[in-house]
Amino acid sequence: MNFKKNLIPWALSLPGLVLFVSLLLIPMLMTVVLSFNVYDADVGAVSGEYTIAHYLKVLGDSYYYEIFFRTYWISLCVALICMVIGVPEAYIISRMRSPWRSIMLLVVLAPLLVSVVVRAFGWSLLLNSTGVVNSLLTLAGIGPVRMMYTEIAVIIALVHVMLPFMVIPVWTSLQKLDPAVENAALSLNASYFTTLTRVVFPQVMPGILSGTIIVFGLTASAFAIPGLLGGRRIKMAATLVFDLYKNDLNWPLGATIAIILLGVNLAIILTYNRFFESRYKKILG
Amino acid sequence: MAHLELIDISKAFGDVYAVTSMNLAVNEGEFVCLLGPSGCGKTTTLHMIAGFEAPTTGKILLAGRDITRFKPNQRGLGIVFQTYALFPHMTVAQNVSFGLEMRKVENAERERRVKRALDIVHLTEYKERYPRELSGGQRQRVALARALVIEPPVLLLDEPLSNLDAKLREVMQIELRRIQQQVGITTIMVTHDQGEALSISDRVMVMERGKATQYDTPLNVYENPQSPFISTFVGKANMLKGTTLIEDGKYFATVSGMKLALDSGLSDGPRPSPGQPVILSLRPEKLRFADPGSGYFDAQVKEKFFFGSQWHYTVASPLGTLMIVQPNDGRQPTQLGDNVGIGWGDSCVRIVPDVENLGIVSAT
Repeated sequence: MNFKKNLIPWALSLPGLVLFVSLLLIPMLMTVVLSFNVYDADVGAVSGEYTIAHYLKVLGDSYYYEIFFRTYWISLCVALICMVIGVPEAYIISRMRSPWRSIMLLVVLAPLLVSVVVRAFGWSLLLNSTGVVNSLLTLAGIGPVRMMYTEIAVIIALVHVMLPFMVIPVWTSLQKLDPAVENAALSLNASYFTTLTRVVFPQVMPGILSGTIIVFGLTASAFAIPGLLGGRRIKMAATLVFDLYKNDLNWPLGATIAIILLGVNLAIILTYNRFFESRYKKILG
Repeated sequence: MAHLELIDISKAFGDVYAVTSMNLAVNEGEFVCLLGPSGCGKTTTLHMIAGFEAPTTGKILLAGRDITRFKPNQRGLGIVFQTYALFPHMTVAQNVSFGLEMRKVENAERERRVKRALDIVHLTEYKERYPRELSGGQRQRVALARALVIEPPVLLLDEPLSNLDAKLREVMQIELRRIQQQVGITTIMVTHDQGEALSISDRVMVMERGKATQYDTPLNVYENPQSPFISTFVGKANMLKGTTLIEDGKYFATVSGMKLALDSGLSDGPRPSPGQPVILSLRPEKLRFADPGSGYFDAQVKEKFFFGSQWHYTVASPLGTLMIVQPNDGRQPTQLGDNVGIGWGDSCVRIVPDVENLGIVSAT
């Protein structure tokens, strides 16, 4: 009887567990194993022979440092720009009147319905040397500016892709706000600006923090946008992994980069959580 | 001159008037309750005083100055919200101190005043806590301290006690009145709880469907209700329909064929003319049980409810079903089905002005 009772929760979580183990855990373990496999230029990964040479290679070569530095530099820029655009955006939308609020929220979320690849091509149409943006710049006398295959193009497109992931958590935090709290601040002689900075934003801080880390994490492992708008020159960690797998056929080194990327991402996210989010959790409950 | 004055204030949301031609004068140091059922416009009125809603027409004067178009952060009024609206990311002390910071009060002075405000509400040892670590009653007192510390000319309370349980509410009512008296602050409180309004205010403004219907001391509102609505909303009342009658210069009302003496129950207003239909109010606690045959008439006890300090009875009488409240004064309670005589002092029968005369019905 008791045994049966204990079985039910396991049985119910079995489908999810199977999916998680077979599609995430096993491939990931295989990738870890692969990253320690010996690489032979003629046969690729040699199964059964192990080495830490790939890790040493990555750690000893400034080429990889440069790519990792660029990856996290772009992630940081995208996360900060998304914060600067997304937080006011979420606040303004939450203040709109009834029909407009839903419409604008839909506008913010709609890009999620379009494939990232399609959007990348869209941006390349806008940003290339004869694109709309450059035509306008030429008209304005600034002249055509090279944007494609630069960090700027990658950052612009990534901000566009990631913005909903910033707006949604901030929006959720704003929904939890008691509107009377703003009135309370006003009644205590606070200006509208002070009310925003000292009363509203501190309370939506948990939403801003989780939005920032989601955007940061997703950007650090972004593939399609840097691949299509960064080209050969602006490589990021994910596009490097792709090249190593696809062009160099050096799977073990690709796996090594992927594992290092995962490790660094985890370390950043966990540290961030520990320092910021848990602090706000303690105060706001 | 009144400290705070609302002159002919109206507020329309689209085509719907939430408040119509409201006039209110509050003297300095006075505690006034806006009392009415939900949707009567009392909260809208408070929000207009606070500046959160702009009146459609009319003027608001504070100490003689027209503040109608002032923004909420220019009025300097202290407000306690129904949800308390504490800043959840600030400690109790930071919450209380916020208003002083906004007024650029210097540090030492600010600390002194925060400490005093927390002393008044007995929360000194909680000053480092966050709001979520406090009970409902404590949050309420933080909200009160935060509003009082800025020494506002008027304190506005928006149903401040409605989120507390019954026992705590009673304690806080007394506490609120004590603090108000101690600080001597002009206070306007919105409430739907008539008991609360009667017990702690100097004057009560009864509101009904966007209109102010009576503005008087709690005792007068209770004893001389100016409409049938007020007499049933403020306390309980047996409402009777009758016709006036004058015999030998004395006023009577005939109700269901019975003659009830009115004389001392008439208010100072215009006297009813003979034969005029009137509405009478008889408070249940003013009716008395007597031996059968010795009261105005006999009645039979139909229902009996025990309230600790009181018994509530309903009896079938020649006037119809009547509510009667008797104190639990140690005597044996009357039993169901008993025949009893019913009596009262003649001054207890009140004529209640008809609603039409106040224009309430036409207002909707």
